[in-house]
Amino acid sequence: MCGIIGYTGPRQAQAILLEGLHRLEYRGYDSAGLAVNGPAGLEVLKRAGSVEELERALSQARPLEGLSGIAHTRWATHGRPSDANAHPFTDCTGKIAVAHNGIIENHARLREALKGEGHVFRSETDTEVLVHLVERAYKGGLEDAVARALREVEGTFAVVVTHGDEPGVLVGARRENPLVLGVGEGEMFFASDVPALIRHTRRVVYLEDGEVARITPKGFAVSALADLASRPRAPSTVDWDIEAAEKAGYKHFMLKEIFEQPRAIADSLLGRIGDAEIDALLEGLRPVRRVKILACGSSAHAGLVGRYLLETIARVPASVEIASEYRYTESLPEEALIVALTQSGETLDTLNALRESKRRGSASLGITNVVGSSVTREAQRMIYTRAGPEIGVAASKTFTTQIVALTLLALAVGRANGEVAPEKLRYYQRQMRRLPQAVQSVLWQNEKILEIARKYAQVKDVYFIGRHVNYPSAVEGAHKLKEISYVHAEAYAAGELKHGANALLGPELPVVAIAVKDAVYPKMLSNIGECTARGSPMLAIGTEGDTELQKVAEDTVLVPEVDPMLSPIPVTVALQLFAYHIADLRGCSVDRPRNLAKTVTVE
Amino acid sequence: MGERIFLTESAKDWTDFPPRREAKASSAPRGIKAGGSGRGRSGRRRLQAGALRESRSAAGKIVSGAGTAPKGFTRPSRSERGRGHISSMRAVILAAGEGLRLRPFTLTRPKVMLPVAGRPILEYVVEALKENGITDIHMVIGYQRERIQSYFENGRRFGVSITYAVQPKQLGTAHALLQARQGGAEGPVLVLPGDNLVEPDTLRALLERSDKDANAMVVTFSPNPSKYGVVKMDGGLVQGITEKPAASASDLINTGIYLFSPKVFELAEWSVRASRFDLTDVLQALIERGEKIQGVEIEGHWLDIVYPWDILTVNAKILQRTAAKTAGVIEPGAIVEGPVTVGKGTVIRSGSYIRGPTVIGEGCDIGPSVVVFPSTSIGNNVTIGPFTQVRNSVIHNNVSIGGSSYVANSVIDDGTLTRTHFVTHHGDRLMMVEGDVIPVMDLGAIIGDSCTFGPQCVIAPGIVVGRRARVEGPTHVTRDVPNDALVL
Repeated sequence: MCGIIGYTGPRQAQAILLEGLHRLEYRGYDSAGLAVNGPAGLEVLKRAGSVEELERALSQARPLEGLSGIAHTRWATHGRPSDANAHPFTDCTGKIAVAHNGIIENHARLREALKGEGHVFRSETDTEVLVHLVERAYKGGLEDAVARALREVEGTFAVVVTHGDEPGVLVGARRENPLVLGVGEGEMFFASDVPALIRHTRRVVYLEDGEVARITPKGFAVSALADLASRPRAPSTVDWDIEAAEKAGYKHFMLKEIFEQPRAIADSLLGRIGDAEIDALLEGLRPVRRVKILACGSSAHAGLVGRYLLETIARVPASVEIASEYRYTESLPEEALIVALTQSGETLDTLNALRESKRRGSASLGITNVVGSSVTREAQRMIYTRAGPEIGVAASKTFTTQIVALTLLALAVGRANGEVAPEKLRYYQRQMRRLPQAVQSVLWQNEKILEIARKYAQVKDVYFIGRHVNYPSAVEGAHKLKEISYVHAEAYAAGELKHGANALLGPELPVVAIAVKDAVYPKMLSNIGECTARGSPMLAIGTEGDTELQKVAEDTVLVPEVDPMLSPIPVTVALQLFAYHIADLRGCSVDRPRNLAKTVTVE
Repeated sequence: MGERIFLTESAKDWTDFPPRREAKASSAPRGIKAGGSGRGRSGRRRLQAGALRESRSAAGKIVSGAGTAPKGFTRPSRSERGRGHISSMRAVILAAGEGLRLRPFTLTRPKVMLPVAGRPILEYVVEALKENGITDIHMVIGYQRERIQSYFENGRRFGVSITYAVQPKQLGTAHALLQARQGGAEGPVLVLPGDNLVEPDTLRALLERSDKDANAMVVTFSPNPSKYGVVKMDGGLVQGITEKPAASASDLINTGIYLFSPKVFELAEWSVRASRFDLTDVLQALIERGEKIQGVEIEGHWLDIVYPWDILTVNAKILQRTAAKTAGVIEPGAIVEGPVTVGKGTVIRSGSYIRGPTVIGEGCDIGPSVVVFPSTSIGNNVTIGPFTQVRNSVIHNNVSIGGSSYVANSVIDDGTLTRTHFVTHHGDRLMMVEGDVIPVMDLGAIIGDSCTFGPQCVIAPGIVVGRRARVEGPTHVTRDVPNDALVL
């Protein structure tokens, strides 16, 4: 997946590039490298390992001098993490350096062709073909060479290139992977996303697909990749205060983000919970008769909650499709409203599924946390989750705010089709207003959840069970545990256990059961009984005041009462804390779990 | 930030350190007198009867009583601020304390995070520092620290830079100060409590003190000094501090605001090793060693919150400087009069009448036909049903008050819900808090967070309802309600 940064200006590039890499680390962190263009020509240093290791290597050598350069932090797709496979890559002349985020699909064919022409390859990656293509196409103008090289490439890229003969010049191009220009005073930046730039400038230009840009300290010029036709662009100003995304005393970003949820949820409701604002969500879309939610990972689990919300509140059929699978479904005319759920707005699987659905004629609505991301350009309408930047790789506040957005959507659809009468709307508005306080109440039980987590810290496998709208909570709870603590966990609809999974129950297999006081509560009590009867340790998440539950489960965490349809929100917060503490007790790297990256821009 | 306690290995006894110095003769420094009203200050200890203290001028007259409105926090202009503002100066805010006497409000937040006029006390302290050019702030936190960290984060939102040090057990102020020690950091350090509202002018007076080589502390007059740390001064220098003396020789008391040279950390360390955990012990040690401590005198009103009802008086004071500002929606037919701040996303519905000074937070739904009288602060995400009157009260976040209700002279904490016909009677009551007995006048209800009240609950004057209580209606509540109780 990877993060890219480029700089050109009056200052020494090395320090700026390293700092940018630190800010991009959440995009990938198995190797890193930089290339600086200076008086001694192009100098490259790259290492497998974290950005810190790269820094250490740099401090042992003399600093790379130069006023422009590019740097890269990698999340491996082709070729294992190693010094040789790290970006940036140089060509046979050693004058050109390339950093790339994406996948070159026809790299094997191109590699053969280039080898045949005498080019020497030093890595196992797909990216390396790019630098040799540029080498081949270079006739004195870097932008021209890059554009011609990229026309031969099939696949996706955000790429930044520099040439030793053209100090101060950087060329970047984009196809399906994000690339942003930062406009400074007498200096310019490239970056994979805004957080890497925010310390230097708030004026940015988002490159669109099929565009190439050339930057120098004096400014920038954007053109079309296909024919280098000029595309004049004006910078926009970014609102986010990324500085606030520092840990501020919390041990991990993820813990901070879990604790931010009351505010994030309140912000999600602000100015959107009124009648007129809810109606406005579907403006311009044709009447909604069914909904298909496309998402990946935690967003898909939020989508599962959304499905229950849409069916119960708005009474429209709704389904969730795993985005990467959507394109393999039969290509029938798409009548449903497609809701693309993506925290980053850049998740490639989800974007591709969205594009496919539009090809099939769907209306579309995107739900994302990042204004200006790719999904905002693909979907007809948008709902923003407004949770602020989420740095921890595992979703926390973006998950709960996605559920808030889906609830607003369900209310909007219900209003439009008459299923939600004014009194029902008022009821849900009041219930939603109680969410920030309910989540805060769960957070106040942090110490208690830590104590429970101590008991479970060394387990090898956990079942999470729930029914109805809390089945997705169980799925998300298991997912969270897996992601950050590397403990295997599996979620089951509680009614399913007896159809096979019961066989694994026993003292070695603890169970986390979600049993809030709703219509399915009696059945959940029976399921809990089934598990404890077979010796499984039991942690039950229930409703405040439920003394019965405390009798049947070894450990309980009780959350405040909210409408059952909204209960996944406080329940999930409890499960987030549970997963967090287990991961922390096991010494895991909570904010950057192994093998994962925050925004998945590959397929 | 980890928990850090710095105790060195040396076996030296603290009485050996440092060698005594000859006391130098010094010229009498300018005593800094604040003229007129309008300068609040912090207080370190509380008085018994109510929070509004009266101050004395040098002539011994009572300068002002409850009737006079102070000018509030005036912001000095750039030229007024003058020299002596070292922007590299660090400030250490002691914010680890619990605030036992402010329960139930301090069951879920540290005292420093108590909201006044819509903002936590600690924010006013941070603002006073920023106004004086001090942006390098270290906060010593402990009790319920996530509340502080979640709100302030790294301080950028407030124009300052904040780092945190955790005091794992609240042993005392010198112990707290030690947590903020940073190896190698030089320069003087401003130490102050986070739980007293302090004005920028007070800090300015301290920073502009005449003798830059001496340590300094802010002292103020009190009509009842024997309840506090009484300061004996001579020629502008502090000669001694006595805690709660039976007979006090002076009427100057310690506000807890200090300006120390970096040497104080070593001295605090020795002090803690000798199990003397308070900064006053460290001051005594400094004095005994002949170190100069300049006493900077401040006049004016105090703004200290000791008991829950003090919140109302201090809230009223701070609201004096409210500006009329609307970021929300005022429907046609709703009247907003006077200095009223309405946050974004809030709707004031038709027929409502809001009179200032009043602050209303974000995302609220007020009305229709709701009446709000001064001096009232309403938090975020608050719903008030039709035909309700709210007067001189503090309502925290996420509260819902049902229609046809009357809330006056009351404080209601986060997330509490009431149904219709919720009435707070106000009147006189003998309040009992942590062993203190205090008569309070015209007090409404003190209600903790996450409570629910059924329809037609009437609360007698001065009743304290704890956290998470459930009161079914109809009820006349005539006795305090403990936490988690169910009243039928």
